[in-house]
Amino acid sequence: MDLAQEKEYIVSLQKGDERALEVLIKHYQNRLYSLVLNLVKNEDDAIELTQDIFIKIYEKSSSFQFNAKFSTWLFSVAYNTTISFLRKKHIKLEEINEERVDYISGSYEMTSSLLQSEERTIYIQEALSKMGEQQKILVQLFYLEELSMKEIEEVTGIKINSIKIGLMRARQNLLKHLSASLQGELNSLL
Amino acid sequence: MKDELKIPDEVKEDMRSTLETAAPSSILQNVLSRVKSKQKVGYVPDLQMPFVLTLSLIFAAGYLFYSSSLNSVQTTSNVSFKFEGILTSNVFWFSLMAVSAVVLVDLVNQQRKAKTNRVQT
Repeated sequence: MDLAQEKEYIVSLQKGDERALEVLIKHYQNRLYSLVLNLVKNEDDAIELTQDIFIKIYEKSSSFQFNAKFSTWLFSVAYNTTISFLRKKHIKLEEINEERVDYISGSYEMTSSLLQSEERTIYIQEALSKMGEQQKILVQLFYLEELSMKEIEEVTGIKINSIKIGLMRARQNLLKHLSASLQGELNSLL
Repeated sequence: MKDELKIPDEVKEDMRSTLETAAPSSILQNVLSRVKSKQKVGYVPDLQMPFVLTLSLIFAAGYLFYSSSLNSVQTTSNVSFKFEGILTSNVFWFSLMAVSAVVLVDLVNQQRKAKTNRVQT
């Protein structure tokens, strides 16, 4: 769906068109559900919350003014709804460690290209599983949804500096895992 | 994207396959059915026990008062039933006000519940 088409559907949604809602749900449900699931870590809660979020989007669609990207607004509603849910359950998210991160230059691309794709996937899964929920969300919004840091700040309310640190740390963890696995492979060959 | 945050596309794809999960198809169906049910307009009484009980009591009391007053009128002046008589009866107006009050309270209660649900979602 391109932006012009999406805009048409949003305008229809604002007029209460259920067909437009259906199209937008089909387009966004996997990404939204994943975001919620990564935060709540429970499938039943994630399903319930995703439904509530889409209902909210339908009811509040008239308040969307096209000043920002629709996806940014959507993720913002999703993030805030999920955080409220977690607060009610007294679940606190792991905060981003704001200690300084030293920039590691160099071998990231080389490291990833030297590994076989299946192995790389396993090590990436491992690295992601060790990340806190907030950090995972930052990775998802920045790398997968390709939101800018300013947009992520709008969605999550996390300050840009913390977002940057969180992302650098995530990238560093990935590099560390990929390098360690590559080192292991080299050692086994020698 | 700044260089210090850049990661290769194949790593991004691996991250996507790890972080993205297919949403169950029930989400779409449930959202659409919930939207349809919300679109029902107008006032639908919340027929719960306290509401039904209150209405029954009001009608029963109203009927008793009305029939006793009608009997007394008939025995003293032997006047047959007239519709205009109901409109001048205090019992009729009291019952009407009581029923209206209960319906109004129920309506306000329903709206308050709907508002709370919306805030929670």
